[in-house]
Amino acid sequence: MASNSDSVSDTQRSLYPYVTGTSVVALKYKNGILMAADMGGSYGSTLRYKSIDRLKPIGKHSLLGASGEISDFQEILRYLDELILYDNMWDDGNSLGPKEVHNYLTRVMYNRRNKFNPLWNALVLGGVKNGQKYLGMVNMIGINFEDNHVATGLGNHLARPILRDEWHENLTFEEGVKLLEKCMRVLLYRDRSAVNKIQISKITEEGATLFSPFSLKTCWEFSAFKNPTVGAEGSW
Amino acid sequence: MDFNAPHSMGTTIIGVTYNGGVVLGADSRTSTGVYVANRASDKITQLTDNVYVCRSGSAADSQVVSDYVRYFLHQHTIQLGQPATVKVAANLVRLLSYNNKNFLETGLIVGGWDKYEGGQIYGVPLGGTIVQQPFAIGGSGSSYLYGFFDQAWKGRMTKDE
Repeated sequence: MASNSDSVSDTQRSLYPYVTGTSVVALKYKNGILMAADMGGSYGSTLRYKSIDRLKPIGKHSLLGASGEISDFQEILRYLDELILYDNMWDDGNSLGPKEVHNYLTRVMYNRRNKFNPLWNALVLGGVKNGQKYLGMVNMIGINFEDNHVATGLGNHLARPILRDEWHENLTFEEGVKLLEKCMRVLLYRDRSAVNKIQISKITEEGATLFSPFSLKTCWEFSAFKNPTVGAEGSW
Repeated sequence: MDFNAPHSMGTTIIGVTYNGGVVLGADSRTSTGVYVANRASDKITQLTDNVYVCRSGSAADSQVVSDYVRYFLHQHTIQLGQPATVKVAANLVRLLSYNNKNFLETGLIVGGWDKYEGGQIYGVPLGGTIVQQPFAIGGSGSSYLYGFFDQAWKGRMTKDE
């Protein structure tokens, strides 16, 4: 293959992302983890793809959500496929839990960062194993942590404050979904790259469930729109 | 006149699925800066009997990727003993695009028909993302078509439609 022109240091330089996904938001609830992301793939400022799946189940116990470069996310899914395959081949009754998968991803991301050739993503990894809920995040420079609620990209600025106020232990499924929808609605209003086609998925001890994509209702009932010409002169 | 400007294609390419398979389309202009280097280019390139690719971006990059994929698919077909699937062809294109993303500047649309999944279209834009779509548009000329396709596209069309 054409790749390995080794001598030039520029061969393995980080670049810029091409097709990107925007925020992912996730929270722990009573029975597991709920995660939400929209289905948009932006190409710079153009919203080029509107049906990109950014939430994927990993093995039996985990869910991965990604923002950033989609081709790198697809590559990470292939690495994880191999990881889970080898885990299954042991056939020893044990299976990789979310903490282990998160740790693997962290090592991959940090090592690529050290070689100045990062995978341009921010990943959210959530899951449940043996009743223990786990929710973590890792980004392209290898920063990783776990928390009761996480978000990527603009979600950190717009969604996390809402979650800090309104999240509590033992949210029911309905409360969790409502909270996620609230976050995704704010992102839809205020994130230029957001698209109104949301996917929510949950993971519990029983396994992962991906719900069908849906649209959020938005409110545009501003009095200024009702009589647009009133006060038009000199207004913005 | 910068004759050393890279031959970029300034292209519009389209791939569409319909009820019998796929239809691919492309314009025929290759430009070097403002000069039209070739007004009769063939941007739809055959990879196998049943899979073709529409090329956009750098002419050289898209040609060399097509050549490698055709070569690999040929070997794959011999080893497999039956025609390659469109998915395999598209993934070979993706592998080259992704693993050489620092060097390549080409957006491709892979379209074809196989007996397992019927007609399929896969977009492989810059960076090496792979995305299966009912229709795909690409190249710098595609900007004008996003609105049109959003409004006019429907699934299960006849070939004439």
